[in-house]
Amino acid sequence: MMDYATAWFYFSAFLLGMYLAFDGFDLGLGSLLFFIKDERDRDILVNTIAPVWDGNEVWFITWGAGIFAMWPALYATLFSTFYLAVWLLAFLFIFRAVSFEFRNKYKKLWDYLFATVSALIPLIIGVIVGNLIQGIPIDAKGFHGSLLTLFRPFPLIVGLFVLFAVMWHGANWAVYKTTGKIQEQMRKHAFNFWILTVVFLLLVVVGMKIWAPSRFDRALTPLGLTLTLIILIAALLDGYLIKKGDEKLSFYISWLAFPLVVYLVYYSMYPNWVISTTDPKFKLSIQTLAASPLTLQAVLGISVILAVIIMSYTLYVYKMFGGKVTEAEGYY
Amino acid sequence: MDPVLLSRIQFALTAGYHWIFVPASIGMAFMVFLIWTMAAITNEDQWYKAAKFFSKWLGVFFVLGVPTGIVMEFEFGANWARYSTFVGSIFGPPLMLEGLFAFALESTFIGVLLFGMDRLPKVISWISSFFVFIGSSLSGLWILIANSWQQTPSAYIIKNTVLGPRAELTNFMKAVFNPLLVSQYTHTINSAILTGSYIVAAVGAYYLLKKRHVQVARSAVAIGIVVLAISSVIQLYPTGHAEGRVIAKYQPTKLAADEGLFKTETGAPMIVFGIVDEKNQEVKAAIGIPKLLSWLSFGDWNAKVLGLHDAAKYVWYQQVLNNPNYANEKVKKEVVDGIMKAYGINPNDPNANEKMVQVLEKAVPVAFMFYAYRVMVGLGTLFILIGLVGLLLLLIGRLYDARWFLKVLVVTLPLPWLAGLSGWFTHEVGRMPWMVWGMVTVKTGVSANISAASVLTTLIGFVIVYLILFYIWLHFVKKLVREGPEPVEGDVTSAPAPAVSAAGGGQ
Repeated sequence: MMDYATAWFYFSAFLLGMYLAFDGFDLGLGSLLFFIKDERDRDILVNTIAPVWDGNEVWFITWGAGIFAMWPALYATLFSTFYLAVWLLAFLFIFRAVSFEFRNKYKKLWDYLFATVSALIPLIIGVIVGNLIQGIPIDAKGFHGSLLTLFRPFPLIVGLFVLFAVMWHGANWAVYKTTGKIQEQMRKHAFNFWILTVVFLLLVVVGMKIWAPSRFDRALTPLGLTLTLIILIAALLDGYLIKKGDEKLSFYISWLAFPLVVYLVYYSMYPNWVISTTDPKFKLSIQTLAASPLTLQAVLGISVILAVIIMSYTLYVYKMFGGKVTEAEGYY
Repeated sequence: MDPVLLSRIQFALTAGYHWIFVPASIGMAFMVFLIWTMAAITNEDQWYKAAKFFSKWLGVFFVLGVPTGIVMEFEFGANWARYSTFVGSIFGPPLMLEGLFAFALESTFIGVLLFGMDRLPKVISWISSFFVFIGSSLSGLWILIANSWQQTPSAYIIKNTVLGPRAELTNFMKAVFNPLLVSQYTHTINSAILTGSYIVAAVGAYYLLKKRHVQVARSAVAIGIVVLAISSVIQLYPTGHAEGRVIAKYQPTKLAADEGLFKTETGAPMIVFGIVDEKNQEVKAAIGIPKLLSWLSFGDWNAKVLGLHDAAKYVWYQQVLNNPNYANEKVKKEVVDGIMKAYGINPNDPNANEKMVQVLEKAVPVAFMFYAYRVMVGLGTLFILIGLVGLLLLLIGRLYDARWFLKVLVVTLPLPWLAGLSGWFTHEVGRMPWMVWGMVTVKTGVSANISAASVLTTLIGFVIVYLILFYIWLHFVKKLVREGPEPVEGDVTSAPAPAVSAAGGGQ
């Protein structure tokens, strides 16, 4: 029987997976605006995500609040330790909303701002996850690093991996939602960023072997290996589908790739949220850091049910706005 | 400067800024749903155009409500880490449930509303506006569950764990329905609806004065005034009255500061206005209604109302030292000693408890509280007056021609925000020094590992970013006013040139 902390741990993986799968394509599409010279094309691309991006961001908030609720000490330690980085991320979310909604005046400026923050958000989230995988210089006395600790090589590799993956995903979405010249352009980006994603996926695996051997070893268990294999097959298949021009299936597969990768990452970290790079004995497990037993129990069932309900109405809304976007009109 | 004060300023700034957009979002969501409903019932073009127009207003407020709210969630972990560790088991779940219950609903359907109203059937827009209203009021519910629990904590036990002492839930539903929740929630949501109705009425009044979009404007003023008249009365009674009684029972220091009551009195008067002299501990030139405070607070004309010193004494001895919700004496001593040490008091000092009473007494700025409370109540009274006068004018059929009244509506539009912020300031400053009543103070809740320099950096960052945002935001509000609703047959739309249609966008 799985204990409640473990159940929450994998529910947290689900929330992060949904965040990257849903918000991932609008972040990726935002980052791709760097490459789009024509203003009308940018308008069309932005219109493909306009009705849904706000709802997509909810998964991030829920993921964060889930960690606050179920591992309050972890949330508090991470946020206060990486104080300035946390606020950088918050400012990025603010600027993203503003540059998106108010882009009708000084369009070019807002679009570059939107592209910049859309690229930085997945990068930073990747860096945070990379730090959790590798571990941080911490012991019973506290944290012994600086802000620069965050940006060690391995976390940066993970950050770039997440960035390239969302750009691949975003390009897949754009191909799925557009037609004509812009679609052709996006198809090229999809393939290029697909290559970068696969290369960085391999780099992450090698990096784990070097910098986070204990996490790497756990991924070598039968379940871990099976997942890895599925992810690799899915990734390779997607490259083929992009080339073949199957826009629907290639988007669905990149969508599915995110929860799978996140699940594998969580699986490799289990059962320790925090490991130390300086003191091999120091570990903070998901049970040690967990909220009180009643908290874990009281809201698990309702959270799972609500997640299913949200998925249902979200799918319904996507269907409502289904089909190709060809108009370039802005909203506000 | 110290990180505690800077973190408090930062929290007040970010929360206050958030509260510019939130009441307007919730209130506008209600109004927009109401107007879409009117459009469905009457099937008249001006209601339909008004629904589309005010949906855009809702969108403009919603845009900044969301990211400024994310900031608040980050702040608990970043600036108030020890607080988060201590009560995260209880405070965190409502925040997470807000995301799942409410935030997902409102964010998804505001997209459907704004992007679907030109493309999808009207009934979809109507349903979406309903979901946005339900979502935003549920959102408020979960946030106020978290907030009210800090003010009147219930159903918890403080235990010692490997991570230090912390509060753990003993009963989820009892913690949710803590004593303050119902009155605080209804008072706050109703204030948001009042704000929304004021915006709709004032925007309508503006167009009537300019003689533009007259049919849409009339509908807006009429529905705005009706909702304003009802909500302004509800704001005073029963919601405001009910919340006051809970405060009187559970947070006596807050009540004493609100009322400028330094000395305990039986049959205490309600001071309408006066000048607070903190040094001599009195309210000068006070004009009051005898015995009213006792009656309002406790339902008894001769009830005893604690003055600030006695209230602080009650809080420390009864609510802190006699708090039964500790697992054992050891953990209680650890928490209580921690609070004393944070205020530079040696727990072994024989006068330690008396010194703590003084700390609690000094933590509440009476003059600030007294005036802020009067601003809130005074404006509330003004809203009732405006609402009822407007309703009277509407009933005798003079509302749309009473230019003086329409001018009053436009000019006083900022006042609902001023009233709401004054209310929040009395609510939050009044609980000082407690973050969680009787358990965590600002000094024991602040992050141990952040420097004043870091907090100052982010504080300056917030001031700059928020000012820029507000400037950009105002620009879009102005644009919305200039463009106005889509034309209804027979109306003058705008003075110089025909209005750009909603979908036309760019200027």
